[in-house]
Amino acid sequence: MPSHASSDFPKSPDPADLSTDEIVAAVLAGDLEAYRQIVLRYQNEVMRVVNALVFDLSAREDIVQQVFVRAYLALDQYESGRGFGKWLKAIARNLVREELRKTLRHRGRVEAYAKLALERLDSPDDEELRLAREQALRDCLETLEQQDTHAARAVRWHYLEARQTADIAVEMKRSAGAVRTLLYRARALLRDCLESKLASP
Amino acid sequence: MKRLDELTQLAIEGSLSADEEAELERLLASGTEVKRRFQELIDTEIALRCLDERLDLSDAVMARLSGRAMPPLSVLPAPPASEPVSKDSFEGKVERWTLRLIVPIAAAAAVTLAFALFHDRTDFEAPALAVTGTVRVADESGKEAAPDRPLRPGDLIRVPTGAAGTLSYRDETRIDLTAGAEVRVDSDPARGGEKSKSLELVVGTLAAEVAVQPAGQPLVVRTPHAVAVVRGTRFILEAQDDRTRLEVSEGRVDFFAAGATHPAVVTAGRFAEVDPSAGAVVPLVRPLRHTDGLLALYTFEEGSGETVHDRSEQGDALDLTLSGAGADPLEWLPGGGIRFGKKGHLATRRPARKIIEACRSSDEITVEAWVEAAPSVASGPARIVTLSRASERLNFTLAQGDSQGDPERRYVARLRSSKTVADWPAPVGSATGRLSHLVLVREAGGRETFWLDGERIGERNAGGSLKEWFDDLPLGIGDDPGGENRSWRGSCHLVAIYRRALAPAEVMDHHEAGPR
Repeated sequence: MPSHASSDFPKSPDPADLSTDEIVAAVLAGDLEAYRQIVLRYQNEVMRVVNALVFDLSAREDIVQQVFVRAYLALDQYESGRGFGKWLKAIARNLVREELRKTLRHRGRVEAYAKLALERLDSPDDEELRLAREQALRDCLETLEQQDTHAARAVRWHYLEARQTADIAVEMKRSAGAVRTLLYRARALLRDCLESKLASP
Repeated sequence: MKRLDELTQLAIEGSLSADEEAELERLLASGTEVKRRFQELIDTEIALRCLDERLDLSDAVMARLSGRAMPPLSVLPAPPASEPVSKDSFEGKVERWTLRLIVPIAAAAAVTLAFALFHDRTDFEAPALAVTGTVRVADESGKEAAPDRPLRPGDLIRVPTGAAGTLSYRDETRIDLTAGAEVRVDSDPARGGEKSKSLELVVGTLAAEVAVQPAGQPLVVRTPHAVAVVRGTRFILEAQDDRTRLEVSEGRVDFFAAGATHPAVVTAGRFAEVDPSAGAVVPLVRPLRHTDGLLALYTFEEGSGETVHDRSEQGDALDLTLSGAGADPLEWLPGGGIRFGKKGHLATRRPARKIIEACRSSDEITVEAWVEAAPSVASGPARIVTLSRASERLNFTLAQGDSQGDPERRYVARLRSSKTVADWPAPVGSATGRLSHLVLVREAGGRETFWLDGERIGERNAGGSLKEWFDDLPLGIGDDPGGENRSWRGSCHLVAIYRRALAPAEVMDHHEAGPR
């Protein structure tokens, strides 16, 4: 049985070593597997856009996958050198808008938040600041655990497990309104905590 | 600032009214400090929503893309007049114009060549046509062919009501044509390569069992809306006036919307539809419903009348009939589904013994419904799907609300075992006017799960067995058959009952498949 490992054939470059534009060229030339590297490279950025706008956990994953499928099908329209991440995020935003229109009944109202979030997501992204904010938020969540256990639990269930307030209300044996108040209080505390953490050197 | 926080909170929750939105805009225009705080609140919300553990979706994406590579030109359906070209450079423009000139010339040459091949071909394999009843065959000019004449390219086969036909090829490919089908033979050989088998399904349904085709020579079936490219598989293709549906039971089919260049790859156990009015370039592929263990299935596609047929094709059909004193006519919903009027419900005319006996024996059951909740409930739990005559004579019910009505807008399940018949409420707010997928599953031994819209919303160990079920209860939708005091006035799009516990993946498949 021939061993592929000892083959003298020249080895294809590892897609992980290539620039995104080089990978795009490889995919367009028929190397479908190279597209995996694109997914690995950009999935977190796409998730960030989708997560910010879609609350349902399974819908989020499905939309992220759809973004990459749609990008693949339109790959010949991507203009090399124009910033693949930016192009991909534009596809993600459009897809999320379509999904929101399809699935949400109070279209106008939901889009009020979506509009605001999109504005923020469209603003120039300082990766370092974003990572710092994420880490600070995790620290603030730990602080919140000590300040207000119930509010911290509501935040974890709502944001980390994507559970609806009605569901949390049943679990906590409170009214849905009380859970909303709890989340409101938690957000305000987290914002204040974030402000002080990001302001300190 | 407090008012700003409140308004931002409402915006985040999606419950900002138009007046409040205007108030928020006024506040934001009042100063940079307000705007800065507002942006921080939104940033905090975005950061919170992005906190969950990062997932690697690369396998899932690659699985979706598998087989989506551009197929060889010979099997492409009619390509669009011009593909978007992204290059704006001079070279790009030259290339585009060169393509615009060369492609039509090349295409014309190819069509001419194909036409010549078509008429001079000696390799055309006429499929044999076996018929039951009277099937009519007309040639390209519309002239009816003699009954015993071998099929020729361009022949149109019409299968009238009460008849059936089967096309057979030498490689044992077999295509069954059902009543109402119109199929043109080898209508366009250029599309599939000169040696390919090629058919046009003008209207109706065909079921195909296709032997593995030689490389580069797939079987191609066109419909008015779509093209199916087949290399060897089993599938059912249905062309209606406004859409084409493909179901694959074995292998895979590349399924193109007419004029599109990228196919949806439809693999075994999945289906796709091309609906030109929906405007999708690549058809959406969804799982087929699972049928193993099915006892009763209602799809509410009758469109009129007072009877809903059991379409499970398992045992005696348990059809449902509009019942109850002074029952209002059913409102039939476009695309399938019913809405109840003020009075009346659906019920079987006899006890649902095939359900009762099968579930007593298996000690398992799955009850599934696609519904939109009733706007209000007078006296609950209002029966959506029920095997009961009254609260005290009940085997199972999927219902809405409780004895106080439905103040908390929630669905509820009740399943009798030898140990319990306790209500099992879904979360508050679960019953909405939105189309929802409800599934109650019991495994042998008593573990039960309650699903809403593809999510597991509850799990419990009820224990006991189903052996003590009442054996004389009819199946009802909309109220207890005969009881008429647990009236449910929502709309119903699909109901299915299984003798077994559907696996979680199967429940999620059914949610993804939707009610149609």
